[in-house]
Amino acid sequence: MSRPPKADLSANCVEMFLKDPKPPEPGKAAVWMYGQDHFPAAEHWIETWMVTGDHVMMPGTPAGAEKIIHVGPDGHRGGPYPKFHHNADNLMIFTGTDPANPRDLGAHVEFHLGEGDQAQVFHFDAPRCIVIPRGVRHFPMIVTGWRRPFVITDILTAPTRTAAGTETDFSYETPA
Amino acid sequence: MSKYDDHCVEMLLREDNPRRPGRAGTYIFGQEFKGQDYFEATPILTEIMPITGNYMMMSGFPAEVQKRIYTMRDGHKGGPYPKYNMNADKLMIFSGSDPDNMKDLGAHVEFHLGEGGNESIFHFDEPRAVFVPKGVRHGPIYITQFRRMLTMFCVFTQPSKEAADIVQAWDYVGDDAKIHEVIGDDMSEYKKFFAENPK
Repeated sequence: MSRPPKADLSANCVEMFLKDPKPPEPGKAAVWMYGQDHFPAAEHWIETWMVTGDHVMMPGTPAGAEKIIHVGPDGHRGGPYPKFHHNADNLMIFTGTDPANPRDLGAHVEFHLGEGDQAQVFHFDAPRCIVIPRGVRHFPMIVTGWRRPFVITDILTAPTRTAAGTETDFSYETPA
Repeated sequence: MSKYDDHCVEMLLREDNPRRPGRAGTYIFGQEFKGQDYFEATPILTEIMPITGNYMMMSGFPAEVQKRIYTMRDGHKGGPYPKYNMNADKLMIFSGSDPDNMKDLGAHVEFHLGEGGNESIFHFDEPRAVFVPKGVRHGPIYITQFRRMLTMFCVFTQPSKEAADIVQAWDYVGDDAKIHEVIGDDMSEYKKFFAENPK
């Protein structure tokens, strides 16, 4: 058996950051966030949240409409448009909350991955893991037929969003 | 056809039959499990465990129950002992299920990390992430005062359990008082679910 390392483990139980916008975003509860900002040795950036109703994530804006641009505290420019992570792979794991029926997600999800002739649209209403390779555009995501809260856990193989090289596709226009 | 058409993956649902008290089926996503391929290109292994009542993990066997080693269907040896991941860090995220009160975990968790003079024991009833460095013993985990479903979400920095190189602390002796705190004094359920091979 290996010798236990001498490292101090007392800081390894981490209080995550709760992003809790007021008022809450429609269809989405507050988001728990974990990464290097919260624990220096973190190797992943992880967000987890509950979906509480029908909604659309990253729907874009219609052609001709003024673009929506959010500037974060770190200067990062984002908005409700599809994303790329140029330096990290991304897993999005969808799971339900009914332990008596674990194959029921509780809603229908439509998820867009890729673009152009490589675009893929997934439809599911059971738990799934979507694998988003680095550099591949992803979103919008459309939740319909919501019946019960479910959980999305989003894992980036980088410790911060900056390190992941996240880019927003501001050119995306919501289909008519 | 898109090159991404296999990137929406149906995860493995590992269900105990009958179900273990306090825990529903486990969703697993990784490169392999029990010889099956899930998504070969995945960089990590994840496990999602809904907790539905008082529960304990990696707690060893109490004195009154014959200690044993499980032989899984694929021949893998396992058991409810503390573990080391010799070749992977592991993050364990504990989160609740009340969207109106995200800071309520729904139970009390006692998590043992490390051993000997380097052991830390964490107590919490709010969501937390516990970082388990490679080579560090972790467990037992005792979940008590259960009020509402919570989830344990594990992320390994390897794509499979084989690559994580999991080693069991076979010599760990269970803490009778803690085990009774979790499951009460009726040991029949314990013997039924923990003192025989998982189904």
